[in-house]
Amino acid sequence: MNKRIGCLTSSGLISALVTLVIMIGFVLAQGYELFSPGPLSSQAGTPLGGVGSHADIGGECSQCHTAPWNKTSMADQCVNCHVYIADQLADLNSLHGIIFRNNLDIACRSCHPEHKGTFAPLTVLKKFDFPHDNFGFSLNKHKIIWNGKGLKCQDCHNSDFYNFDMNSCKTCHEQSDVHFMQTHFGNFGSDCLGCHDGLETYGKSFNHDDESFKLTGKHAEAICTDCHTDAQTKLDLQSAPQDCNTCHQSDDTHTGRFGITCDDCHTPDGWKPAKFDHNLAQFKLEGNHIDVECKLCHTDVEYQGTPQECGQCHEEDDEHKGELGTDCGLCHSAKGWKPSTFDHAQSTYPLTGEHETVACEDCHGNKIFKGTPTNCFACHAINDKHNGFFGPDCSACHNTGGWLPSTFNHALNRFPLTGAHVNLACTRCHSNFNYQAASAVCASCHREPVFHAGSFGTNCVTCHTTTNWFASYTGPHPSFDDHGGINHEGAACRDCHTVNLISATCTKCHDSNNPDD
Amino acid sequence: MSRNKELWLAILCMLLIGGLYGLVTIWYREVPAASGLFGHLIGVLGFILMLMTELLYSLRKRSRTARWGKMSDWLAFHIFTGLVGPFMVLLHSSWKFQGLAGAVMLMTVVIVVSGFIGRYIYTAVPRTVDGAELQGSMLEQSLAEMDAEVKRMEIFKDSVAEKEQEIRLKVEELKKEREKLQHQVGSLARARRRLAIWHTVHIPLGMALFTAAFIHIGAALYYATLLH
Repeated sequence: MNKRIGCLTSSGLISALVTLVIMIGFVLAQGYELFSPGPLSSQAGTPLGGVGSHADIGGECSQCHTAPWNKTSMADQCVNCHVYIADQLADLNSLHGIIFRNNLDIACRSCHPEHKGTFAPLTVLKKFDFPHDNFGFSLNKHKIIWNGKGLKCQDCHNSDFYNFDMNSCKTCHEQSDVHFMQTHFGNFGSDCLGCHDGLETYGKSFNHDDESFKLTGKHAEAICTDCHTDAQTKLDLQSAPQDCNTCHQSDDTHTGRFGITCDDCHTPDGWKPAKFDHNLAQFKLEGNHIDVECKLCHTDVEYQGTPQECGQCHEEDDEHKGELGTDCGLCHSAKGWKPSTFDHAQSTYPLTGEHETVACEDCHGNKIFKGTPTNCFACHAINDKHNGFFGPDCSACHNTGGWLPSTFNHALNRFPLTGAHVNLACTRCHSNFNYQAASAVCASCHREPVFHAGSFGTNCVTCHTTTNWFASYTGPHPSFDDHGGINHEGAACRDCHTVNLISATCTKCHDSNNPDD
Repeated sequence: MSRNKELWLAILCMLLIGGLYGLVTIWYREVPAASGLFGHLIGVLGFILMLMTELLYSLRKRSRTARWGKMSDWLAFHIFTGLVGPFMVLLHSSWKFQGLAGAVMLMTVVIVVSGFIGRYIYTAVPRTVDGAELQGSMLEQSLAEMDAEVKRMEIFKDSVAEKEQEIRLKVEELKKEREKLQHQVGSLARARRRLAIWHTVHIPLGMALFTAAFIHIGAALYYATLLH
């Protein structure tokens, strides 16, 4: 070193010494004000120990500041004057008690800075060190207010941090949406803290799907007051009834007839389509009824008390025009009008025999089923092979088993059948089914035999009977009376009349025709 | 740029630090308090730079045994830290200039201005390449050497026609240098006198500043940093 460095030169040392002396002079003259980073607050409160404001003890640093090696802290110094705060700290339900209970390392100056100026606020809760959550309202969502600026305590509390005027909520929030706030106040009242806790539990961040009643379908489009009517508190919101009927009673088109559990048939996606299980109802849907639109049976959206009689719905399409009554189910099923299952046996005209296979319309032309004549001729007149000769009552001779065999009682006729006539086929006498024209004269059927040779006429019954065709002639024997009479020793007619009755031969018994031989 | 590189570098650093300060201010929506983390940080760093300003150049200047680096580089570093350090301390003040802290800030500004003035007085005194001050006899000798060189060049110029232009420029440069040197020789006594006066003011100012600054630091530690 050729020379001492600047700070160790005499001028440097003198300068340092002079500076030191000047400062000591300042301290002696004006106290420790020299070291103050700024003026103390002059805001006057209730005098404590004769001190109206911190500015009154300006320069007396030791009133608040203690030496680092001192056991008492600056907070101890605070409560030495602010005794009521010491009382609050002991009461865990008080403002300061709550603050310190949850923030053991918090100091008075964390919220109450000093040396910020004569008129600077003594309570500054910047960066939300203040545990506002402990007072039932989190400032989590209020860091920035409507104008993009940070929230200040005064924005809500004015100058009184112990009290809160809920009108300040409205005043501030109206700045961003006046219409919404007015409506919201109208709907939910002015007790903001009744529902809102700053965590947005029931605010913008609220997700209804986290609750027991999830908003799906049309419910998601509803506004809060549609369900939460007259809700003024959080409890009101939480206790909103969840049954369908409470909200939907007024728009229940069934007017309560189906009870109050709309979700049995409907979903929140809309009233339609509904999924009513008709099989749970008295009237189960089967066959073609399954595809029928509800309104076709339930006119005027009337679902209860709907008549179950077929005729109520099918009157218009009843092809029987009501003549068979209203209980279509007697013959038809829901699977379709056809095939029908009418039990003709239950009617006044049971079907038997061939009638069972006859198509309905063969008898019931024009689909008229009632009043259908039951006499045979109504149907069979057109195929009456007797051409009406026997009258309309076919059953007198025939049955439904078929036209044949028939059972005509010839005994009641002018020509009762006896003997060999009984077993004759009708057609032997009645050719071409002509029963009227048949003659009762024997000769109409029995032509005179060659054997008679025209000797006896056509009245067969003179000699013959229906039981014995063989003649038993008892009349006078022309030219042979003298020869033993007609019995001629027991000879039969053909013993002599071998060819016909007008010729005779004796050779069957005698050697010649000469009586003398 | 290369002529005043320490100045430009200091301005660049100040812009960067100022930008960071601006970002912190925007982020916290308020000017960083002197007692805050950022405020403390720039205050401590700024003061360390100011201490370096005060001590390092002075030590190098007066040391005969430990000759690390050129004097001119140490001066450049002295100017750099002498600008950046006070700038950081200015930001640390959070723009409140009251009490002792305000006085320290005021003295800092004064001494920076004083440093600027000293910088221009300093250049009036001729120095060697490494920044050492030249004595009067050495100046006279340099002038004589320059005259001889000019004469030699002018003779050389006539014999080598093709290098006439180049030699003429060199001669003009030498003449300018000589003129400057001659001017310095004329004002050497006055410049030295000014520099001595400046030192007489600058050094005590620095000591007053550092005395006050240390007291400020002590008070801040006592009343703020270590309070409980």
